[in-house]
Amino acid sequence: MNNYVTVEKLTKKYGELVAVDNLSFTVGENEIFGFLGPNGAGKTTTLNVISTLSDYDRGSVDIAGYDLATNPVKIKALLGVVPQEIALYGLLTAAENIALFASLYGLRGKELKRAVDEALDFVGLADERKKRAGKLSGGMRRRLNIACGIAHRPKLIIMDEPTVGVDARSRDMILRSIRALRDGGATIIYTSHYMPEVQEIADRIAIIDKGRLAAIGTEKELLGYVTDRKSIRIVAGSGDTDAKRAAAADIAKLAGVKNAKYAEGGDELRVDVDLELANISPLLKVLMDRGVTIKSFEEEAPNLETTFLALTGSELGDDGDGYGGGEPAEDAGRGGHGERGASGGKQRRA
Amino acid sequence: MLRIALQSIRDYYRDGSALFFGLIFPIVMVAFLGNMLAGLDNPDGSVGTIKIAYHTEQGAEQAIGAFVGALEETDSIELLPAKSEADAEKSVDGETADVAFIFSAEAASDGSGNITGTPSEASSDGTGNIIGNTVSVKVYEGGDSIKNRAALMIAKSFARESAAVSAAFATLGAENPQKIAEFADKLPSLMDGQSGRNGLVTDAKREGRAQSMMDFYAVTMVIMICFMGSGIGAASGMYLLRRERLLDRLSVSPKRGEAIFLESVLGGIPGSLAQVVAVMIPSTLLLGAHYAATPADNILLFAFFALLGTTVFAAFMLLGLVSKVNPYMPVMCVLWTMLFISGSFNKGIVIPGLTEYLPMNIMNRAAFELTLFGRPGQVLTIMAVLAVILTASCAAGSLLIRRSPRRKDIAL
Repeated sequence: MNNYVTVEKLTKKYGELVAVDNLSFTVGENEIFGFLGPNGAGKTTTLNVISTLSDYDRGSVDIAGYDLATNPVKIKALLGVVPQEIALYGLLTAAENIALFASLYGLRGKELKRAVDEALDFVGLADERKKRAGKLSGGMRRRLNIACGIAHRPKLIIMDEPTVGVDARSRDMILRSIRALRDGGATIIYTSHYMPEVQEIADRIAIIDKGRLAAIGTEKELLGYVTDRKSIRIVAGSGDTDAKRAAAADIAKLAGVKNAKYAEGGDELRVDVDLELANISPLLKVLMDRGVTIKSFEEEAPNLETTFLALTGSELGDDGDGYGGGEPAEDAGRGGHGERGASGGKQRRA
Repeated sequence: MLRIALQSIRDYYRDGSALFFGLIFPIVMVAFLGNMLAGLDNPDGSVGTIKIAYHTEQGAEQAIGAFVGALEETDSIELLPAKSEADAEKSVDGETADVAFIFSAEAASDGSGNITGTPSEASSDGTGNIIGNTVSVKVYEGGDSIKNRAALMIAKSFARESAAVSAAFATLGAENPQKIAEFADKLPSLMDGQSGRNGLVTDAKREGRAQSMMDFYAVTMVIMICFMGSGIGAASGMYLLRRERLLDRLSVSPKRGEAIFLESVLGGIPGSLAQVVAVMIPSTLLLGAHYAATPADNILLFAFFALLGTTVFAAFMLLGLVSKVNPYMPVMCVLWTMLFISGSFNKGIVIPGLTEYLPMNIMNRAAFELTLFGRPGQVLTIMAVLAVILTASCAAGSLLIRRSPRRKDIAL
């Protein structure tokens, strides 16, 4: 696979704060590249540089053979950007919004009309083409936001949290669309706070922390980064919630325990340990001492969430280094980070 | 081409609140202020007959002879001679006269002008520092505020002319009558220079031209909407474009930053023109307002308003581009305050030394020069200045909006 994007020793400072620190990575042509990091890790800053919105202090960015410092206009012509915010003209119709943004890339006449129709079909909004963007539902606006970024058939698509706040149906449609774009020849850089989503669609994933690359590779390769940690899933019986929380706090203090957390509102306690399963009796004793009944316990295979936690020391949360906001979630199943953070790939989805 | 401009136009015409405040509200204001307030504050309206009791103290008889004669010839003024100041005052108290004038000779000005009155009624025209013999007039006001104002204007006019003549004699010298004659010729324009819009209206009357309240507010409301509609809309619109990341979305396209800003300004022009048309046409056809006397002057006036609206749009768009908070409220507060003290809503609300320098006041005066006298000089000068401001705003906006990533290669 040829490299489509090559970032070398990229550095970006805001005053004394080094937001991106000597960051290097490549994105292969025609791949979906997941870009993960905790709050303030430098994800959005990096994407802003790649998408030509930000200056940078050192390093180089090469896209399709063009150097960003010397050929920004050539690079802009290849780019499609789907911002985290829904950046649409609320008083224009869905079709007018797409036509406006596509026309900025030189599309005219029949070619433009065809691009608009295809983009509307692509995101499932053909029936809403004459509706003003401001009148569409949150999920529809999110899909229109994507359509505006891809209608001109860009070679490189940068998607920053494209599924924030959408319902399950819209999310599934968006993920299918992203795969279809990849299959159609586009290269996609994709960020999300929703780990399973990244696992589901990314061909390769980069994890950055404090502006530096912590790990990069396929999901399988990333899981190999952390070999000294296991997750134990303990299912407690119904009972006193305070007792369960107190037990989790006590367990977190035990030797060999890295993290202990309940799934929000649930009975599943996940404990990350560097112990063998045979040596977890102190864990179970704490639960019993607190009066928490144990229905079952089992060792979980390492997952991307465990790996992310081990590499960055924190869970995947809201991005704080640039973009913010996003509308409230339509889907209660995606409402809390605690829920999805605590239960790995098993969290409920509406 | 021009997609962003077309989008801005569509956006404007689909925004109900923008349409209301840009196209409907100003003409409602013209109708309201022009009709409803005309009776309260009409420079040309009739206030009926003003009965003026007057007493002339010893030494002033000769100086006021011509003035009293002129007043006697005025149909709307009835003069009632009084034997003493006390009698004149009593006739006002007893409502047999609307106001009373007491003329007295002075050896020199008291430095605070030439009109005196009861402590609560005293006002000055600020033309003090007169050297030489002059006549002062004391005014006793009655209960009718409009007649009081009319009488004060008459008294001021007398005092100014008296002061000016005294000054002429004192400074030019009685030995050179020719120079005094030249000075007398220039007297009206000197006085107009001191009195701002009232001076314009006085001149207009002298030349037989009239300006009704409707005419006045038709012009001032167009200027108001050029500032309020275009200014607030542009500043807030550009700020929201930034905040909602639409500007970023436009900027990541291959479209040049200069084109994005210039098209955005271009997109504001139809709205600015529509605002002007929405006041000028209905105010003329439905409300009977008059603008300039000739078609050519009206075209120039329209061009002036259009350029003003476009310049304000571009300049305030620049503000929206750099503002860290939504400029809607701050801009609205500043503009309303400026409008309030600019004489746009009430010519009486002025702050000497400030009002005449406010943009709205300058624009109003230039527009009245054109509409009342057909003198385009001020309008053309201001249009030249506006063109410079518009160009500078477009250049600055283009530079600010242009975003090409640059590697700085700084030492870390």
